[in-house]
Amino acid sequence: MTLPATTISPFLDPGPRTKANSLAILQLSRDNLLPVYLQPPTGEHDGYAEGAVVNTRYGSFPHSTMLNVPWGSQIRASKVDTGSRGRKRKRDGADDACREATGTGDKENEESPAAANEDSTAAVKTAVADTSGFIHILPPTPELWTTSLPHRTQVVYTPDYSYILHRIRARPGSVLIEAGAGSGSFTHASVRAVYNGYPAEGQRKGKVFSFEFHEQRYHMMKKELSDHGMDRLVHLTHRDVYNGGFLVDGKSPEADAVFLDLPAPWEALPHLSRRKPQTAPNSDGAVAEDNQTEWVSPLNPKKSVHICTFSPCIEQVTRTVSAMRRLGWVDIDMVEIANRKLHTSRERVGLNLNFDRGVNNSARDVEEALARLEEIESRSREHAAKPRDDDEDMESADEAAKLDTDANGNQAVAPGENGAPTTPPWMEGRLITRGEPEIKTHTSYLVFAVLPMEWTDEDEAAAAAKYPLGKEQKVIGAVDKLARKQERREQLQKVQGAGGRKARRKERDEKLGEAAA
Amino acid sequence: MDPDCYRLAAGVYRTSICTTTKLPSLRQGLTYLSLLVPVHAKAQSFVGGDLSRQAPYGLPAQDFAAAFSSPISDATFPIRGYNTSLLASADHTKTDGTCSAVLPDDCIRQLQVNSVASKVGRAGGCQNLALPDSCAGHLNGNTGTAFEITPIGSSAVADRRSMFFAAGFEPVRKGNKSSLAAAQRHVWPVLLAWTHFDEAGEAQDSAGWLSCAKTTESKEVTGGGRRLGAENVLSIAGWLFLIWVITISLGKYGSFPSNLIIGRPYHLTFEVLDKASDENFSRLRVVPTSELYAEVFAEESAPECATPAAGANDTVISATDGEEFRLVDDDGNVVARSNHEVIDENARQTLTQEEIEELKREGANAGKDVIAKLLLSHTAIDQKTSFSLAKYKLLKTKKHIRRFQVLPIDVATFAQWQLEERDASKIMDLRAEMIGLVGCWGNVHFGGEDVMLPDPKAATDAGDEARVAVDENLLRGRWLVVDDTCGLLVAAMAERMGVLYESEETSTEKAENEAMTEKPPATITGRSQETQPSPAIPETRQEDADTEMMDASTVPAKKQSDGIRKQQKPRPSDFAIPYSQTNTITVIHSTSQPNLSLLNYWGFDITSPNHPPHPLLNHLLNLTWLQLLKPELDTSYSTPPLTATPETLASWKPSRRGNFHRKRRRYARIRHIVDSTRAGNFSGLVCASSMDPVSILRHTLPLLAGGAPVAIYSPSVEPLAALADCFSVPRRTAWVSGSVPEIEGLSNEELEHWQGNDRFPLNPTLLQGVSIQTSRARRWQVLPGRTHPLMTERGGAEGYVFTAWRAKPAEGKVAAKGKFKRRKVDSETATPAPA
Repeated sequence: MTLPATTISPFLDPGPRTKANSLAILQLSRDNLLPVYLQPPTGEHDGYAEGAVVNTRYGSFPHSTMLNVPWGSQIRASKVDTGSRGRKRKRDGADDACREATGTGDKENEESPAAANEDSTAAVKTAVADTSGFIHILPPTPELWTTSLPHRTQVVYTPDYSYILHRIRARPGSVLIEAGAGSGSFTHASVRAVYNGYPAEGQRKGKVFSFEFHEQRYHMMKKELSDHGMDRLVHLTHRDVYNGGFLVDGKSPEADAVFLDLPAPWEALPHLSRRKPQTAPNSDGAVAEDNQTEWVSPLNPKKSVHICTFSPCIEQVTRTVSAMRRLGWVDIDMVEIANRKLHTSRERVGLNLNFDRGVNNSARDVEEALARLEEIESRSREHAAKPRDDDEDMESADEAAKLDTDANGNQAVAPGENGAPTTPPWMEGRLITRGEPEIKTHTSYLVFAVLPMEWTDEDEAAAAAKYPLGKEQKVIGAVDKLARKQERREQLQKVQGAGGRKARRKERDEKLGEAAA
Repeated sequence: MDPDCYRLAAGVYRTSICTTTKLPSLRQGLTYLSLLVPVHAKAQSFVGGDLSRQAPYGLPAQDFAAAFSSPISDATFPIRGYNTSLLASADHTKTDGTCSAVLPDDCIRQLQVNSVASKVGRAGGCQNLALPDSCAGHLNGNTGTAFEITPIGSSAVADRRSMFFAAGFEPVRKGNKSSLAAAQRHVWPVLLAWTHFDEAGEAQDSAGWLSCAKTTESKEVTGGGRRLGAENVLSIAGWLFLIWVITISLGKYGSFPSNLIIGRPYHLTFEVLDKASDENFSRLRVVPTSELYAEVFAEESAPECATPAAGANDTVISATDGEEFRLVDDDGNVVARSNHEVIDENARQTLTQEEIEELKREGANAGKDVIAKLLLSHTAIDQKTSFSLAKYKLLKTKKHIRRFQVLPIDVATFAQWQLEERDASKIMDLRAEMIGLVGCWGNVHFGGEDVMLPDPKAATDAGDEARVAVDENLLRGRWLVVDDTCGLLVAAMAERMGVLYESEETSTEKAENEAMTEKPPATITGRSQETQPSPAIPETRQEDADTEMMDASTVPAKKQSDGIRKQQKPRPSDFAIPYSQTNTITVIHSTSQPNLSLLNYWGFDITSPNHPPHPLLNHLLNLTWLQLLKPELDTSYSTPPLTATPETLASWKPSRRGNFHRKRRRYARIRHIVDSTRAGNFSGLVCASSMDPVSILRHTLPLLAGGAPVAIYSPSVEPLAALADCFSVPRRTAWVSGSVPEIEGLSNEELEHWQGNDRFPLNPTLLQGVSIQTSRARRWQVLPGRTHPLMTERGGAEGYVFTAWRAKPAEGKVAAKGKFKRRKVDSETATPAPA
């Protein structure tokens, strides 16, 4: 293992096993995730003899049982005394099924990974496996973090940020501006997108420049980023970007892409220009800018810059788009993302299925209904044929009915399902998908746009000198019939004149060109 | 009946009739057109315009207009002049555009009657056209299916009142020359029908006319797709393919030298200018955004125009409506009114088609003149509402303006182009939303700095023992892929991992070198012969062609002896592994060669033996399912490497020597790929495959590291649902309850490689958090006062993504807490817990 590996954020390279003092996501149940910073068992913690313990409805899980295990491991619950905390009862007796990790074990284990996980002994604290209850321990990813993070503001969820990052071309090496860090879900996802190694001194690597206006959120975010080993990949600034702009320490971040999750993106947009905008966003801004001698653009001067703004209301979109048009953005495109999660289940319908939860005990098809009706009909006819005493009659009829349906049921099922008795319950019924009970019908409107590189007359003159005209060899694209014929004729003449090889080669080149087109 | 013509007519297979919607408030006027078109033909172009001024498809406008302005039920109009001259060369009296040369008179008459008889309903619904018996044998089938014409970009009913819409059907595929030729050979009957409605909305008169036409000109655009966005910008993707010094022709949009766009920034909007008198080519002009959006700005600055739909008072388009389309006449009068006045029945486009063609040929002012003239010569322009005027202008602008944009080929742009303009099925309908989701849920990202294995410096007489063994500790950040999208998925992943594009410094430097030497830069698909291996990129398969290079005497010094030691840069030995140990994509394919043809668009050709430097070379590994699952059966894996002493080697011919090295290198490569893949511990699995995902997971799940994400794309939900069902809660509960006889006594290791049976196709404990989702982006038009979602978008496959994480189940029986208490008790009493 190389040295820098130890400092890489667990989001970017979690390594093969869980580590102490690092973030892990506990999956309690399907959609119930819990982020936990694993602590080395350094003694009694918060009254627990086992050190730090996670208590859930699925059992108690001392951190020691979750350290230095392979990611994805299923962790058994431990018998933890949650009742007598503070009474400091000494636990004793190691169970042979117990698993734990020693306090100083990390380095040892890395040296001898084979001996890492199980059956090492501890002097002080020992976690005893419970008979039931388990969780899974997963490496942190932006997706897991997004579903488990502490909410501070509205969260940009995976369906949105995955599409946004794809559209704004956030790639390894890109520099991204994010305004409105919020809860940090987009920050984490964008760090993963632009990450191409930690920057050495003075090196330009993929980086996120994040801005947060709210001071409390800023501090929480700051701590979170350093806990996640991302502080060198994210430059977080506490600032009101409407007035303050996007420069960092007076220097341009040279951003390739921008994401604005702000209530009024149009106020921030003028700062994201190539040149000093003609009209300042407001009077304050105008004054501030007048004071500056030289206006610096926060954008990468050598590239087209992609932007996305994230606004919940259509009025915000209208104003944003209007501002974008005036500031020279092109390819303006507005979309909203509708995401649906689907649940799969087995739909079990039939008269003769057992009364489990989720079973619809009505007729499976017309034949079954018909058989049932015939059955009832024939029985009542039978019954009508033999007049009896009322009470007796009712009872026996009921009993008969019960017996008959049972008998019939088995008969009806057996041939239909090819040995139904052996069909396990999880394979019964028809496999269906349906949407989750509540769907997010609207998150926000996404406005995308592109700001091309600045292109001056001098640039054009330089390019024109570099790529001179007048040497065009042929025409590609939608050529009309006449031109094509003419070309062919010339070719044939050349073949006759200059002899085969050169002309054939030229022809082949042209074919290649056409194929490429 | 001319037998030749009969054959032509039979080329029109089935027929259909189409209508537009009925218009309740229109006093009189035409409301629908019908086309007889082959059912299989995909509409390629739509035209529209003001019917009173310009008749569809080159019909004589004045006759046509006259015929429908004084409606009588048996109205006919002469159709001479419509180009059918090639129709029946044997009989010149019948080259009049009627179908009398190819169809019996009875058939023609009855078709016309039927077109009237199949009246459009009050609701304006489309009705099928019944083909008369007399046409049997000439037109196949007996009915046509209904076909609604929807003009691109405008679908509001109100817009149809004064316009015609007609669909033109061109050969099925753009660039398909044979079907174009076929279309030009065939005769295409066009059935025109119209109906007049009274104010109550009842149909009063109808008339129909059949004419026959031939395709005379092709409108194919082979230069790439065009996309007309809300901003009226013509984007041309696909231009990076053609960087030879050439002239690029956009067909009717004009042509220009390619050196006018090379070296310029992307995303600028260019306009094709008129040819200067002393030049034989068109120059380009960069259109400033103020001009692009002039119309919108004008609307925004005139507040009462912001909501034209609500225009109860006179809504007027201001005279300052941008400089590009002056909607004022020569005296500077304003030219738009509210909808209080009804379009005059004499209102029509006074320009004939010939005049318009003439204007276009003159190519004045990038098409803007044509548009302006069309608008100005529309005698009823002042009676149009600003709303319909905007639509009319949009139609004309799309048709005539000569603007375009050059876009870089990145995954997002390319995928959209492939999806919308090319063949969506080739990429399994993989939409941008899905690419994003799969990439994120697969956690695909940069997997660490490159780590190369040391060169073993194996001598040529050393066999298998000299190879470098796979070091599992070095393997990091590797993703496993099954890709049936021709390489788009691999490209998307490579983009996310930073191995799709050459680093910017290298590419600009290279471009500069090439510009200096005046050599044409490499096309994207072709290999450039002169590309030097850049020092920034480790040399890889370059050496594969050393024999060929030697034979071609590109390095004369090498020719004398064993070229390996004479080179300035020491050539890596045959057993050197060219692949990085980190940040790699491993493709498993079901055919002997992977189909990654779309990677050609990014300059990577997996089949090329002598590949110029490309980041994918070191980071893309591929192997077949056979090599993964039964490597001993694969010849190239199991045949031991050739050996030869340097002396023997020196005595061989160069070609034999080359083969010897090539085989040894291939052996080392395949060994490395197979061994490292089988070592497992992949960081994730990403799939877009037509194969059953259950079978894919059966063999790939054991290869994944714990906690590694799985993301599987499928165009339809059913395969994913079946997969998710393998991990259903009841199934997993049954599996872990210990009451499954077939898994009793199996170790965890054996359970990981569980080969599946009917009851348990997969080990249900190997994945956690199984979930299926779908995403859809809905696009909106944002214009002042007219913001709404687009009326139509691409349909087809919805696209679903299956996500989960690889779990490492604990040894022995594990009981859940809480929810399944009752079952837990049951199972516990049934089989005592082993641990």
